[in-house]
Amino acid sequence: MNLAHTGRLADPPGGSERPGLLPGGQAPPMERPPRGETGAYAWLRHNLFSSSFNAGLTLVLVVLFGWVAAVVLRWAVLEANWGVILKNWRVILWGLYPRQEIWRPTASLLLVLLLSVLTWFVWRRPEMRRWRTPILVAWVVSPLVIGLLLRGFELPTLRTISNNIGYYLFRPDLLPAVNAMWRGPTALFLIAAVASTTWVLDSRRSVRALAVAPVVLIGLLNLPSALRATGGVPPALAVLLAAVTGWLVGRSIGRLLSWTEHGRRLVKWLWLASLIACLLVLTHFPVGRPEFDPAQILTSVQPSLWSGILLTLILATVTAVLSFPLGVLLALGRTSRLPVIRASCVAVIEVVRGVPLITILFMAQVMLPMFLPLDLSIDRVLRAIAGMTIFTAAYLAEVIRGGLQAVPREQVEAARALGLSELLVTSLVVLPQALRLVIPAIMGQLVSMFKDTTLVAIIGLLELLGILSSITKQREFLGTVREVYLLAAAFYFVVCYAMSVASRRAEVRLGVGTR
Amino acid sequence: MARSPSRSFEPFWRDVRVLRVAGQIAFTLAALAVAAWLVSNLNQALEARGLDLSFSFLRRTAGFAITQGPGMVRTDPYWKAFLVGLANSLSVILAGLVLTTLIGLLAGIALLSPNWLLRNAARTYVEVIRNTPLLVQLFFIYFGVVLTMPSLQDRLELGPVILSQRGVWLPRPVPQDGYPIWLASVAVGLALGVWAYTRRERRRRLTGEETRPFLSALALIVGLPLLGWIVLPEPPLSFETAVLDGLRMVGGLRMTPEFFALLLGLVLYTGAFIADIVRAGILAVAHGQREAARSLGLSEGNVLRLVVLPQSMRVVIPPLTNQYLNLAKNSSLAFGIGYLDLYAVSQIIFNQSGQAVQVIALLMATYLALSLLISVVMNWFNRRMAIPGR
Repeated sequence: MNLAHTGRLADPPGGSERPGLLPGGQAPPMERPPRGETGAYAWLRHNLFSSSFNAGLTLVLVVLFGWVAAVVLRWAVLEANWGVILKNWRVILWGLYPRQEIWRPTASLLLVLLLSVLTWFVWRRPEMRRWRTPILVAWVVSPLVIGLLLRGFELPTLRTISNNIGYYLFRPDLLPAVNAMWRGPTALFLIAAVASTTWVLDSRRSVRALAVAPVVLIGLLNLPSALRATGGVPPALAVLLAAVTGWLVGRSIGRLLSWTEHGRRLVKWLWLASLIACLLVLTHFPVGRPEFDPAQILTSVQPSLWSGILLTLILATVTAVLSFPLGVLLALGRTSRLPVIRASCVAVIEVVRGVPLITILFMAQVMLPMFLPLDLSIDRVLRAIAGMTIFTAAYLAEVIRGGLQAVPREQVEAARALGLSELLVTSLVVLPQALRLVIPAIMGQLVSMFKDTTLVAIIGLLELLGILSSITKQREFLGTVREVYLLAAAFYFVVCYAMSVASRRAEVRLGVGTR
Repeated sequence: MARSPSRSFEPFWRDVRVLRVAGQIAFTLAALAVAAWLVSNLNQALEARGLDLSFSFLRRTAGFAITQGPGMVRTDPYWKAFLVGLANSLSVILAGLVLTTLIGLLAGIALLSPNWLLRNAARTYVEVIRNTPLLVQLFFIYFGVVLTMPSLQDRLELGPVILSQRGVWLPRPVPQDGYPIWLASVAVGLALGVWAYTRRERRRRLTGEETRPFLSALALIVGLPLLGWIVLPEPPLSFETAVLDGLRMVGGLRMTPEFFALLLGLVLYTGAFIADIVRAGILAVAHGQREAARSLGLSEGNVLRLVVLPQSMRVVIPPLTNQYLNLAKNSSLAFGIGYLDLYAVSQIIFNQSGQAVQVIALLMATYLALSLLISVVMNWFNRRMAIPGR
């Protein structure tokens, strides 16, 4: 096949004659094409005035378009009040997101842009193939990061963590007697254990001395409290017990480790861990009732404040990321040989495809809270995302099913003959081919989904269209409807057109239909 | 289960057949468990809100009036409001289906025109409309165009069509004395036309004689009513245009601004998609087919009717069905511009009664039935168009 790609093979050996040349290597005499077959005149004649009907049509259209253009230009230049966009661009972009926190959506946007550029850069270069997995992982993780960034989050302080661990580990309220005394012996136990492990694994004298030194040190630290004879259990006994059990435990660990080759290397890490643990135990281990005292890293911004283009982008990306795997699962379920699973997938897909998106969004807004426990409330934005996800997934499932059915049966049979399990046949052989076949259709579906994000304006969320229509209702901007909705149309047009162009390119590059 | 010797020592948990059944049972149980959990939550929520699941609330008085379409008054029950919404939806869907097919056909042919200007104008229309959301278009048309049209006093009169921000008036046909007779001539013409078509078509098939069945049928179907119109002493139908009477328009066929905007938006939007389908359908017929038909001596019209159209129809109808379904579903965006269609009325009923579950069930069932109806009709059409034996 395709000898054209390896053109050198097709040439007669030793011959350098190119086709189209006369024998003897002379070029045929060149003549200019007749006048009137090239240039602007010919173009006009061929494309606009090829027949009398066409000529008449052209004249009518020129007059019509000229009139329309004049009207539109007059409006755009003289009458339109573009100030409404200049005055509101912040609101249009970020909606009601708090002013001083706007760096967070900006950073998220930059993150996505960076990832996109990286993806583009890496995927164009076959030699950078090993970077593909990290980038895919980054894409998968990015929604989480962006979500945290936008939503704001708090982290428990080190103090809170240690507080909790200490409480549940030692339950000081249950063992008050031990509680008073537990720190020193615990540290001694830990250090003694590691020291004896080292002792077993390493016979060098210097190392052994170095290992024992901390034990002695901690033991000395324990001395003052050990000498005080208070409480039911003599503290000295506890200290001694901790040291001895630590040493014995460490010795058996050491023997276990001596069977492997990594034992000595592990010891270093054991020392590090136990020293840190000791430090915590001795200094910073307040034990009391566990209380959550988080440190606010980023102030919380409720999703109800997410709006404007920001919300449009969030809705679109989250829906795309969530609906794709769901769509694949539904498609696989629909082509499955198990009747129960197939029937339920068919039911979900057909019902969702049979009703308008707006009814699904309505259902998600109204019924989702009713189907969940009373004390669990989901934000309106998340409900909208849930509705859009199931809707898009059903359509994607149909598209992907088309791809699954287009994969030749021999591929499946060959994969089975190689001994692959059903799971591997699907994930390594069938799905990759099926998905490649339907990339244009998937992109078409995503474009359609992006346009459909406007529907959440109907259920009262302030995405781009929602915020724009609320701007037109302000007294100051009354009568700016056309300007504002033209802006919306331009935004969606640019994004959707870019997506479809990208899809056409991907189609060509992946060779859909040619391989 | 037949036990072959090689299977006898294979444990049952590795037997694919057992696993399949077990997997499905597990799936069913899990699904049932989730469903039970959801239903119990629903019951709690309903109890907390003092609601039930019966449909008897539909008989209660609605308390709101609808002036669009067939209309209803405040004292009518909910079910009537629902039906009025359904009627409004159906009217916009039916009108939309017819008009969008026309627009799509014209734009699709324009996409293949040899005239550069027309071709690119059509391409621009298709790309711009397809790449912007329908809701934005509807908002633009309704708030930006229809509502900013001149008031009734300065109404725009394009011949018999009257445009204003209060609505669009078309001339209304009013039957006159001779109307029944004329209607009869239409019916007779139609019947004779069908009869002539089948007869002549059969003769053409049997003898190969060129009988022009289509043309003769067309002549009968158009000719007889035309004859009736001319022969009758006065025209059987007169067209009544609306006139301003004080502050309101009298007569004519009124389209509310909402209906007009929704219809225009739906038709333009779906038409752009249909245009591309038509274009693809025409291009899908192999060039050789056309050439072969011509070399058989078929006339241009017959080439189109007998060779090109039947084949492109097969390509066109399935995606066309999808677009028809989309138009029907997209008509629910009416709510955004205040047209009281099925969805908008359901939303109002829900707001008033709070009966979420029943309203949504009714709404979804109605839309599903509507979608099913369109698919059934189009599938029937598709089967008729399919070339037998392939």
